[in-house]
Order: sequence, then C-alpha cells, then structure tokens
Amino acid sequence: MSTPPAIEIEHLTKFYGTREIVRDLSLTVPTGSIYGFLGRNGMGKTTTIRILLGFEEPTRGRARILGEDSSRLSPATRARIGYLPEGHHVYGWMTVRECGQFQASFFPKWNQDVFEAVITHFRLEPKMKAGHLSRGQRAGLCLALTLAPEPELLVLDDPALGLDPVARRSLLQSMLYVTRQPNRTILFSSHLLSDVERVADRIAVLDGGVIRADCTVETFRQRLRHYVLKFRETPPAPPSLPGLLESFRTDHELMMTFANATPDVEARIAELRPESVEPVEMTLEDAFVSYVGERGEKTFFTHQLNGK
Amino acid sequence: MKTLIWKELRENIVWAVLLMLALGGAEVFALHQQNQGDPQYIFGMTLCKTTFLTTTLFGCAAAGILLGFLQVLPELKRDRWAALLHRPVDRGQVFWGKALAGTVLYLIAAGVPLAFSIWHVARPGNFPTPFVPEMVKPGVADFIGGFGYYFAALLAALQGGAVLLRALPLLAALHVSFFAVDQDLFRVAVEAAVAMIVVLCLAGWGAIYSGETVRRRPWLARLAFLIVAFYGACGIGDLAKQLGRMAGLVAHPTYSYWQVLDDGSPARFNTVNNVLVSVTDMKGKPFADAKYQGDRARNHALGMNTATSHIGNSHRFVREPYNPEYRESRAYLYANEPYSHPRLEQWFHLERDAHYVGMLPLEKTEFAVLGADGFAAPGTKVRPFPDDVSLDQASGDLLVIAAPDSLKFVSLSKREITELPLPAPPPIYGVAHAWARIGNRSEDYKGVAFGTALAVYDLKGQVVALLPYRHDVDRWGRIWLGVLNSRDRFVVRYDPSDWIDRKTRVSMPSFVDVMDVKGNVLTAYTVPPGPPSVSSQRWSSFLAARVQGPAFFFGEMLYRRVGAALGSTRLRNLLAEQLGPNLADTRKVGSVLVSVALLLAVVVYFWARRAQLPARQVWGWTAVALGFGLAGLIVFWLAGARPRTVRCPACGQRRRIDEEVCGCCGASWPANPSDETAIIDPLTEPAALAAAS
Repeated sequence: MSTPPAIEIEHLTKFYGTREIVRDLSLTVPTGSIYGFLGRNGMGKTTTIRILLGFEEPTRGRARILGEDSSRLSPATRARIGYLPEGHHVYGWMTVRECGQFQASFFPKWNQDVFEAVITHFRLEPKMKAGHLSRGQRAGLCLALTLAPEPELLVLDDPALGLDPVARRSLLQSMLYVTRQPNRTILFSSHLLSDVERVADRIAVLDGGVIRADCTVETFRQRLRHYVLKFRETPPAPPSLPGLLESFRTDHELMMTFANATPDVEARIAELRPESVEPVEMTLEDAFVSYVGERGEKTFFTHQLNGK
Repeated sequence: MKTLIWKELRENIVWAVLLMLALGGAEVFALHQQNQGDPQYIFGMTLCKTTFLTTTLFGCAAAGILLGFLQVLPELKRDRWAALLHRPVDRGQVFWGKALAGTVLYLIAAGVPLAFSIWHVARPGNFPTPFVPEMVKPGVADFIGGFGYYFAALLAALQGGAVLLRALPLLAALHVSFFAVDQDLFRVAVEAAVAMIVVLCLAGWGAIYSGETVRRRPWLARLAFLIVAFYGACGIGDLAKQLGRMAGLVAHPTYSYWQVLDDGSPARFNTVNNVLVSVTDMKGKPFADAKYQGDRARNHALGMNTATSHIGNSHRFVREPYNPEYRESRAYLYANEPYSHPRLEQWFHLERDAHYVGMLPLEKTEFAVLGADGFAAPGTKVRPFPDDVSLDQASGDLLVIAAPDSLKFVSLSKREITELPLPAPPPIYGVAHAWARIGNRSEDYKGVAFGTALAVYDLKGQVVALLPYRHDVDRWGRIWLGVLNSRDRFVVRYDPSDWIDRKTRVSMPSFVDVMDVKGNVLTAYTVPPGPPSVSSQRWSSFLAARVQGPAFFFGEMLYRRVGAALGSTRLRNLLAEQLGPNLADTRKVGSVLVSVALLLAVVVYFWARRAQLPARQVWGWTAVALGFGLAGLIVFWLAGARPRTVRCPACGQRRRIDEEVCGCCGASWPANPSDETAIIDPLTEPAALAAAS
C-alpha cells in the first residue's frame, strides 16, 4: 500500500477582492519528497503556502496537509509541520536560548540536540540577543527552531531570501539533515534555482496563479530546448511553432526556446534553411527564466544601430 | 499558555509602565487642580472631581485601546502572525494568553494609577475634604469601561475587513461609555460595562480563528460579534447625536413655565427651543413695566424654595429619595458653605453615614464631627441623623436641624445647638430657605412647614411671621416660600401635592398668596395649568437619537409598562408622560420609525438578494433591518457577509466567486486554458524519486 501524500491541493482558487491570485491549482506532494515551488514574485506561491497552513481561507477548492483539511489543522497536526516563513521572524528581545525555550514549550517532540546542532552550525551563542543577529544568523536560528521539533513536513517559504552564499549553503545543509530521516517531506519556495537544483526531487512552477509545470527537475530541463540557428543573411522571422516560448533575432542568428519540442517542431525549424542548427544545453536557471519570462519575439540588429 | 503569557508580558510591560506613569501623573495633577472659586465643589470633590473623572474616563479608554492594539498590531505582519499561530496550540489559547496578559498589563497601566489616586486621597492631610470610600465608584466604573476598550481594540486589531467594520468594536465600547456616564446608578453602569467586556472578549476569541469571515468563527463568537456590531451601530448613532448637538441640529422642547415676580405677581415665561421669547401675565398680556419685559424679567423673578412636597400622610405617599448620579460628589458628600470667623472652617455632610464632618481647609485636617447627639471629637463614631430629619444650612455657620417634632438652630463655629419653641403644632414637614435682597446683600430667613401654617424664622431663631395655609394643603401640599425685598411681605405658593399622579397634577391650577407678617392675605392669584410642553425635536436629531429602530422604541415602552406594573414610580411617570401629554408625538414618532424600518428592510432584502446570499440569510438580515432600522442596515452593510461576484464567462450574469457553479446558468468555472508549453509529468513514487536523485 502506498503512503498517502503529504500535501494534496485540489482546484484551489484564491481571490483578493476581485483579483484572482491562484487559479484552479491542483498539486500533490508525495510523502518523502523534496518539492521546489517556483515562480516569479506575486505569482501566488506564498498565498498557496499560507492557505496550506490555514492562515488564509481558499475562495474555492480545498487543500489537505498530512491528511487533514488545511483550514482546520489540529494542534497535533501542526506539531508535525515545520514552517519557516520568509521574513525569518524572531522575537528580538529574546536571547537565542530563550527563543529555543519558548518554542520548546509548545512542542512535545522537541529535540534539543538538533536545536543546538543547528545553532552551532550557524555559530550562534545561546546568550546572543535575537535582535542583534545578522540576517544569516537569524535565518539559522529560525531554521533551528523549525527543525528541532523534528517535523514530518517542512514548509519553507523562500528560506534563502537575502542570505549570502555561505549562509545559503549552511541553510541547505541543515535542510538536507531533515531528509536523512525516512518519510520526511519538504516543500519550499525559492528564486534560487541552483539551490533548487541541488536538493529538489520535483518542482512545481506557478505562473499567473496557474501551475504550468509539475515535474522532476530533470524532466523540466529536458523538456526545454534552446536552439541557435545561424544564417548567412538576416534570419527570417520565426514561424508560429507549438511550444515556442521566446525567440531572439540578431544579424545572423535566430535563437529559439521551446517547451515540449517534438520532432515535428525540429523539422519545421529545418525548413527555415539555416546554415547550422545548434541545440544548446540549458541550466535550470536558464530554463526557468525562459519558461516564466516574457514571451514572444525580440530582435537586436547592428545595422539598425549603424543606421542611426 | 504560561509561555504565551510570559511572552506577552515581556513584550509589552514597558508600554504598560509608561502608560501607568502617564496616567498616574495626569490623575494626580487633576486631583490637585485648584478649586478656587468653587468653595462648594460644584465641579466635584477629589475622586468625583470633573477634571479627575475626565482623566480616568479618557485615560483608561486610551490605555485600553493602546494596549489592545500594541499586543496585536505589531505582530499582524504576515510572517510574524504566521509564526505565532503556527504552533501546536489551539488559536483560542493564543487569544486567551494575550487576553490574560493584557489584563495584567491593563491592571498595571490603569489600575495602579487609580489605586494610587485613591490611596493619595484617603491619606489625611492631602485634601480639605473628608474621604468617603464610595467616591471611588466613578473611577472604578471608568476603569472597568477602559477594560472594555482593551477588548474592543483586541477585536478591532484581529478583525479583518474594512476600516469601519474594524471600528465597530470601538464604537460599541463608546456606546457603553455614553450609557455608563448617563446612568444614575453605579451598579447599572458596571453591569453594562461588564456585559460588553464579556461580549467583546468572546467576539475577539472568535476573531483569532478567522479574522476574514465571521461565519467561520465559533457560533458563540459569531453571536457575540453580532451584538458588538449592533452596539457599534448604536455608537455611530451616539456620535451622530453628538455631532448633531454640536451643529445645533438637536432642538430643545418648547414650553411655558411660571414664576413669581419680585412684586409678588405670577408671570408666565414662554420659551421656544429653550429660548425665552416672551413674559406675560396670567391673562396672556405683556407687562407694562419695562423691567418685566422679555429677558429682563429673569432678573426680577422672586427667589423661592420648596418647604415641603406634601402635607399629611393620609395617602401613604413615600417620596422617592433624591439619588444623584454616581459620578456626582453630591451622591456621597455635600459641602456646606465655608465660613471664616473665627477661623476658616467648612462642614461636609456624609450622605450615607448621615452625619457632618468639619474640616480645616488650610490645614486639610478634620477638626470635629456632628451627629444626632451633637458635636464630637474628630474620628469619633457618632449616631447618624435619622432619615426624617431635614438638615439645612442657612448661611455661614448656621445649620437648621428640623426633626418632625423639634427644631434646632446650630452655630457651627461656636459648636452650640439651640432648640427653638414651635409656633404651631408638630409635625414639621420641611424647611425652606428664603431671602430678601437689600442692596448688594441679602437677608436670610427660614420657612418651616407645619401641618397648619408656615412659620418664617430669622437667623436669630425669632419667628417673624406665621402664615396660615389658605388652601387645601392635602391636595396643594407642595408649598414654596419667598420674601419680598421690603421684608414685610411674604409670598406662599401652593402647587399640587406630589402624591397626586402626574397626569392629574398637570391639569390642576396653582395658587399664590402675598401675605403680611400677621398672615393676612393681601393679594391672591390663581395660576391656571399651563399648556403642555411641546417637543419640537427635529427628525434628524430624532433619528440620530433612536438609530436603534422600532425594536428599541417599542421595547422601551414595554419595559416601562412592565416596570410600572411591578411598582416603579419612575417608569410609571415616564410611561404616563409618553402616553399622556406626548401621546401624539409618540404616535407620530412610532409611525415614522416603523415606516423607515420597513423601507430599510426592503432595501436590505433586495441588497441581500443581489449579493446572492442564501435565502435564510436574506430573511434574517431583513428581519434585523426591520427590528433595528438604521442600525440594522449599518450592521448588514458592515458585518453582513456579501460574497464577491464576477461576470460568469458562460452567461454574463454576476456569479459568486466562492461557488463552484453559477447561480444563474449552472455552469462550472472554465478550466485553465491548455498550453503546449505546460510540462506536467505523472507523479512517480517517492522511492523512485529518491533513487533518481
């Protein structure tokens, strides 16, 4: 018998006023997976996470988290979910130790060793005032507070936002610690694709409140193709091809990025009679930018510059 | 819970201490504000002083509001709030943690200053007035009222939605403040404040579960919120009334009254909207003498006081005692006029203990007490004056003690008590102060009402006149005394006795006799009953005053009827007035209120239908508007769930965004448009994912 999913979202829609933020979103996060939740700013990632944790109510649809309706999460279920909001909020007047003690009083399964390990990893002293910590240290403290209850599900909302590379790396290492335990699930939103690439099993890409991709990282990268077509003369305008995300024309080159490019599309490209067609490997970041970036044709011709 | 309380206390204790210092300073300053020009404490004494009560009223409310907001608003930032709520505790516990800590903080911020003020006033040597423990009542009422504002602020902060919706709890607390300040009885004021605290607290508890929508809160919290919303709407009415008053929209009733002029003749003073417009004689003709024309007549009205309200007790009439409002010093302590010979002294009557305390205003110490058995040393427990004894200060150091069977003149400065012979058979029914103007000074007299005559004493205790009653004092037993400036003429006025019901009384004439020192009637007047006063309130002010609607209007009438049936004289009189002289007005107002409420109910019905509310809610809100009129409409407008709608892609009609199918055409929402660029990969088992990674 398969394990029930950690998160199930069905046809979730959220309006703020008459503005639709999330539209008919369905997503399943399997137990034990690390799920990257990607999308540009304002695309509905944080709203979805807030609905998942019961801080906001969906306009339509429903979400279940660890088998429970997200709008009525019991304290017992909350104890099984670790949540790290993007602001890395701590009570500035508490010391690091007091922060731990305060948080520990709510969680029956508080693991002091984990807490101490994480704060040591971030070089935090128990007597330090939380209000005096650097951004990275604060993120570390928040992560320690989130990990020490040993949650079954970790929901991280852009955890690396504003952190320097070292702090980001520390955060990732600590995050990976959780996944060493069996059946631990992580859902995290981020803009840092390199981090996502490093840890995520699957990603969901949210664009305009709609899920546009829900796949493994590898699939995402494979399904996005970038071709550089070289021409002796000025390249022709790109034809309307299925899956074309963007094109870029220069004096002798035409670059096209496709999602789900089929052999038929490649044949249609060949019909343009370029001197050469070069498929280019894309990093996840390039793929993501092309995927959620501005679509359509862009041009840059030097003769136009000379003409001026 | 303990940790939550600790966190709240640690986070906000500084604010509480700062508020405590600010409020404490303000209260002590208000207590010590100079009393110059107010030797009889018209503006209140110590803990009942107007300035002090203004400070406690506004200060406690401000402290409550600040603490309530400070506990929630800084934490409402999305992430902070989420961090607070995402803990394995029920949200209700988070609220109670805040509320309990807030209670402690409020006690520090507002309770400590009040306690300090009380202690400061109670310490001998600080104030030239005796300390009466009951005088803490108004301050305590304000303190409790301020606690209501604390919960109102908590609710307002936790409440989602429009600004006005958030303001409703504060307006509800404001309404209770208006109510509490207007009450005579401390008990009623406190009961109202405590009831509102409970309701606000429950509504706040519900709001932490779902700030956005009321219907997702526990049912008890929903009910509490509706009550809050309703009283919030009443608070809007209170504000409208105050603004209307400031803008001159609230008109005063038009009425006539009569007074005796300084020549002994009665004159009718006619007012419109509380402004004196004419003075006429009893036949309605203006006076020829210029000094009795128009507003100048006020300066030539004879000063008269009531000696008694009824003679005899054949009707077993028990006069209701005068109960000043609990916010007035007069309810606890009455200051006699101070005198300065041989030294500055002032006597105070302690209303509950029914004895006098003498104070030295400069030294601020007690120097003697006076009870039924005479003077005693300060601090001595003395026998109180019996209830049937009338105590009246004549002028300076003279006090008149009139028991049913004895009359004593007391020289307060000399500590001497002289019993006077009675010129008529007892019992004595009451004493009135009268005076004649001689140039810039006045000469004082005392009128003592016996069963058959009114005896006039000078301040030396000599009977200067015995004025036998010339009318049926059983029915005209409210007897007034005045002295003409010539000092050889006395004016006795007879009004209908208090035991006669109000409806009959207003249709009975009054009499005025001008008498000489031998009791001979020189001139007699019969004053016919005046026209009933006409309430000329404008509709705008009326609607503002009764924003509550028909439920309150008829509910109040029912309350008065039940109260009258149960024996309340006050409610019987109010009902008699409402259904007697003001019946036409009552009918007019009632019909306007019902018509307006019907109109508003129709508006709400169609509004709710248009908002696509379920039928039960449509009818429920219609009933609320019908019962509570404008308040019902406001509550629906602010608190009623009105789901947002957008145009249906299928039929073009408005449809609710939270419903799966269109209420008009039944179509579902269209699926997201398919796109060749979508990358949806079937989910694989986590084990396979792990292996792949």
